[in-house]
Amino acid sequence: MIRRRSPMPLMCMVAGLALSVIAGCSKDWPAFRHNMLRTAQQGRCSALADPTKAPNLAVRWTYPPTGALSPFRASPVVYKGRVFIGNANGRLYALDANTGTLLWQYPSAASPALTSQFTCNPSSMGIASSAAIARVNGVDAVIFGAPDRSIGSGLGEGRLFALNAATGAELWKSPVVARLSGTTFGSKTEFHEQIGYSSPLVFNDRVYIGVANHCDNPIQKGRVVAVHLSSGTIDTGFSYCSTGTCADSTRGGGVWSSVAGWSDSVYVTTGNVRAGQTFEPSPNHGLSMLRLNKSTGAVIWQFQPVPWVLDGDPDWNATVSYHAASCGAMIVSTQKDGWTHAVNVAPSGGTASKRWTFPPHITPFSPTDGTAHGDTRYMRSGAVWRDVYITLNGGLNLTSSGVTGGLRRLHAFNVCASDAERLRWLLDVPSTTPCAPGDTHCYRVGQPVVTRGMVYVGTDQGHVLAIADPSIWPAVGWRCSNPDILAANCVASGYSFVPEPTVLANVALPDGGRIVYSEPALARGKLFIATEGGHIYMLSP
Amino acid sequence: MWHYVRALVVPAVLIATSAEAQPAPDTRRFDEAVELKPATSFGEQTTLRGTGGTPKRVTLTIRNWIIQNRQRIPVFPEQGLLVIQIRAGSLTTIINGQRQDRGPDDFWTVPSGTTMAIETGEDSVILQVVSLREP
Repeated sequence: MIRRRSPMPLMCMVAGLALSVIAGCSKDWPAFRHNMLRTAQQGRCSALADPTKAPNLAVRWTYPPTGALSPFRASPVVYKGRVFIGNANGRLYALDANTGTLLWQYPSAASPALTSQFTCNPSSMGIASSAAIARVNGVDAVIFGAPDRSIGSGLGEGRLFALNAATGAELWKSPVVARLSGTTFGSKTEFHEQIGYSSPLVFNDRVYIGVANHCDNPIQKGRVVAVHLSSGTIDTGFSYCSTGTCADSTRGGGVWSSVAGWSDSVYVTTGNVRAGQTFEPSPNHGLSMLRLNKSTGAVIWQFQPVPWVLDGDPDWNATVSYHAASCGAMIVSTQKDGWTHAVNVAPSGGTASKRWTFPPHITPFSPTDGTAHGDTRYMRSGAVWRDVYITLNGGLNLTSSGVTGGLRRLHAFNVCASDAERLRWLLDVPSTTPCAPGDTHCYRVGQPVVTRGMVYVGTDQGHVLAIADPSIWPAVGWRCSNPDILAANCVASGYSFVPEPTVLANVALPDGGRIVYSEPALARGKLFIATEGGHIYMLSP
Repeated sequence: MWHYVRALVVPAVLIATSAEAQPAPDTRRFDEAVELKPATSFGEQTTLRGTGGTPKRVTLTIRNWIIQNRQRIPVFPEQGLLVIQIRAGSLTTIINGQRQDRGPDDFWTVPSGTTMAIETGEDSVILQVVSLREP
């Protein structure tokens, strides 16, 4: 391997000036996916962005230093030297970013934890939603969503909290935003809403959060709720519901993802509609990527690649990224069925204007095209860097081979290129476990984040990987763009060779806990990661 | 078609090695039956030759079946020799009294004339079914 002298210092000085004008460009990591655009990109220079230093990545502190907490499904956010993260035990922790020392926790140890009586998947265990940092009435605040048995039905209805980031003191608590009126599985007379898969978006003097279901028991009506940033009261002027009207009994379109925001709009993805429902509601905004008016919630455009008739439960679970690419702004995300879609921010004649789909395919999909659209667990959000989008994807063999192969593979896409040049690189992520027969939750790779071409991601074996885009560090080799095709047959079969990037660091965290929900947070040269083993780690090169 | 060839071999091994008796189903967890409507992506007749070289006319179809969550299907309504792959979700099959949990990408075969029951759990399932039967 050729060792190159790092060009980082000069590049950083120039790029830092440009990045400083982009909204949300923080050397901290103040929100899930870093910012309101949900780019998962740390644009500031640090050792984490330097491929010559990344191999030195190592654990510097662990919290708790002895023992373990319950599993972490939320991701850490980092602001002004503090780390904030909620745990499945129903408590939010504030730690010193330099030492891992506990500064405060909420609720206090003497108070009841924030948990729900209805639990059916990891999103309903304690605090699964990542927090967000905001300025509330002149005070730095940490905002998060959680179930709370002290309100409403007493079962653990979902609400938002704003705490003083320095002290943990309550600034406000919202009314109920996710209703839970009973715990009978399958009941259609009870509300089973929850917010565990959606992290708050602080934007437009409001806090937006998506409302989904406790599993599909049964599916609920998907909604986005906005509260006023200053008080936590519901903004009644904003209303979005995924099916029918907000008042009718239609169901579906749960918002299992976090809302993104920019300019006059917010962007969101929605879940399935057909499960347990014998007719298609009208309108049906389920299984869609949507642009909504940020003040009213009105739909500006809707992109629905999977029509009702093909709805086999491919909830659109990954959060969108607003990708301000050189060829124009687009919204990018991977649906649960393994297809990644990019849609122009600007509508075309009032409707969504698709830019591309990978694997390339005409949308909407058709019942006769042989494609299948179901719960195949492509649920992780992607990361944006320059004109590159890094994500999990079913791959070019998605329709011809199995659906689970891509769950252990990272794809990087050139978002502005032609379909033929779309795939930038492909990596079979090491330190992941093959999907066993019958494994219905084959989560193997976590949510990638990126800093200046260095990609960081967790794995189900509890490893943190540092992967270098081939433009900043030589690739280890080339491979066929279709994972099923041997190199000798690649070009003859109509495919091309793409780089396989170098894994510069592969750090096994001590507890071995899975890192498939939580994203790494990159702040001021430090990487913060939480595991299902119940630990938070700080690593640095 | 290579993966269909693989499909004929791999499931036979799986069926032979992994079928185990399972606990009785909890019928309380099933919802009212939802009508099944497959999407057909291929359906043609062709001629195959048997071991004696005798030509035999057969119908080959490829269909995707979306099965909602919390469903119990006593008789899966496909006929002929079936090669089945799960394209999404997970389920339990009961074939000749043998219960088997299966997940994404699993393949198996169902001989012609054999009844297969299906139970789904909390998530919907998509089956891709290749069937070979007499016209």
